Amino acid sequence: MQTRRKFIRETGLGMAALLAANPVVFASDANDEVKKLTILHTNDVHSRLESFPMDGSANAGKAGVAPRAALINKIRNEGNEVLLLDSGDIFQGTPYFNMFDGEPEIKAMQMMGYEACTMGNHDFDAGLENFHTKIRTHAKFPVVICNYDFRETVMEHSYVPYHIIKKGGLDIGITGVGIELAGLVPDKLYGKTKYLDPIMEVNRTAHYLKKDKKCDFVICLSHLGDRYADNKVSDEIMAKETENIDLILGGHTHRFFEAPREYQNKAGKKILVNQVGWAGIKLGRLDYSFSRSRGQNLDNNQSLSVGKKEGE
Amino acid sequence: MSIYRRLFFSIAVCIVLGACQRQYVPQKVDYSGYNINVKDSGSKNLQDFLQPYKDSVAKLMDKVVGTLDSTLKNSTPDGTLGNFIADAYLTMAKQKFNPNAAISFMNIGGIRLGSIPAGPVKRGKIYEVMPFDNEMYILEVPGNILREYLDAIAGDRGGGVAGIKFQIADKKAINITINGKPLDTTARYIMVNSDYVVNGGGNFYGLKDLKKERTGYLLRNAILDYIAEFTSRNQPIKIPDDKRITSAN
Repeated sequence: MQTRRKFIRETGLGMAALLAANPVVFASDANDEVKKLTILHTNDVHSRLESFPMDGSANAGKAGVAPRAALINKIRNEGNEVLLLDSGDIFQGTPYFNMFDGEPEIKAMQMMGYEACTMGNHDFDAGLENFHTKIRTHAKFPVVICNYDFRETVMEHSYVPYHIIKKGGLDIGITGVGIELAGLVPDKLYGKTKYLDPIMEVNRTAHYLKKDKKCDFVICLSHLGDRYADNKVSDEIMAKETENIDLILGGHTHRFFEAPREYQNKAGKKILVNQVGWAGIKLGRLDYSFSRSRGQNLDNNQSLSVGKKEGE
Repeated sequence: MSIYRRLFFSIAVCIVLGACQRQYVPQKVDYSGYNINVKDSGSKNLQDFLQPYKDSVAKLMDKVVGTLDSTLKNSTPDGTLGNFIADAYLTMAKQKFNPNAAISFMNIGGIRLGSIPAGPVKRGKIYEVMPFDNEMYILEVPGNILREYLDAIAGDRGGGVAGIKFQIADKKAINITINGKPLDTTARYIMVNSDYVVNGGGNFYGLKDLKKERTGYLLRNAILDYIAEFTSRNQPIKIPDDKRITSAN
């Protein structure tokens, strides 16, 4: 009896605490509660810490971590709930990487407040051990990837297949996928890393995040590339062949999207893909509004409206 | 109401409300893209952080190594930038390792900048064009395998070449000439290429099992040494003035 009473008391207290933490459930029309999230993202920054030099080339003056950090701070200071993400190929492309093996790149990301990244093929360029060391030493954010099996490598404890961030009253599930390494990355650099089928792995992971972990929103950080002339696996194929992903933030192909691409996923729901070129020339921004799924329309986001932000 | 009834009641309310509580669903999204530019205000924090790294980089990389009279451009099926790099590989390979080297290649995916603008060229610019620590390999390639390799290049946009010309028709290499003579599929040609390509990088595996000489010479150093030859003679860097890969369609 004592035990049962204790159980009831604790359960009751737990429930009370839960109710207190979720005042929304007491609101008369809880369904109308709107939650907002601003997602900022980069891909293929390729060690571009400084802006491009003013040498008359097409990109002169563009990019740079200092102006990017100032902009991110400004957006944060506007009072938005901000999520800052990167889709890989952090490394390689300027002498900074040749001289410091990625240390200032990761430190700068940490200073800017990145919250997750995935791994690109060039992040292997100074060896897997180097990437592992730089991440372990300088990053508090996780490397998220579900289709590289690193269990027989030094990366074993330095990555996660998914990561859940609670922000602005939302549970945001983040996963990541990487490109096939054979033929792209010298095998001595990736060692015993096993490349697994990205569609199968990401489908499984996204299902787990959406259905088991009850995430409100699932993001896939991808380094597959947006699309190819042949049937090589890409963000486009992933968008159409998966369920439970809401947004793919891509990379690898260095494509500057005019607008996020919209697809119907395997379950007929809307999914977006975005990519912002390379070098940190652009910072992508997606301002999402959420409300609770209602009635018959359980988790159907078919009606998601996509618009260009005023003044950009 | 006893404590039990109250507890029971609140648990029941929780269960009922909990059942109604659904996940959130995105209803609306606005997108925008910001152009990042050095002219905009920068974070002092990041500037201060970067400064010591910047100083070390500048010390090594700001040295002017040569001069260009016009811009080297990376384009497909070939471009002056890719062909210039292939010229550098072939010239340095002949000088340092094998005077009989006949052809050289710069894979398109390995050219990492769109251009090197006219004017003084800093050492760091060569690092940006060729950031990888790829090594020069020299290998003797049977004509029939060379033809397959050229088909692979033709199927993947093209690239930089020296000592060889061809056209691309339907993603195949045609009208191939090596130093002015048509390709002989029964002959053997001495090729200069990167460790990346000869080991199957870019998904052409035909060179992988051939016997090859590993030089230990970084391809980036081949470019820098090639530039230094012009500079030491007070000449501008030689810009390739011929089309080497053309589209037949």
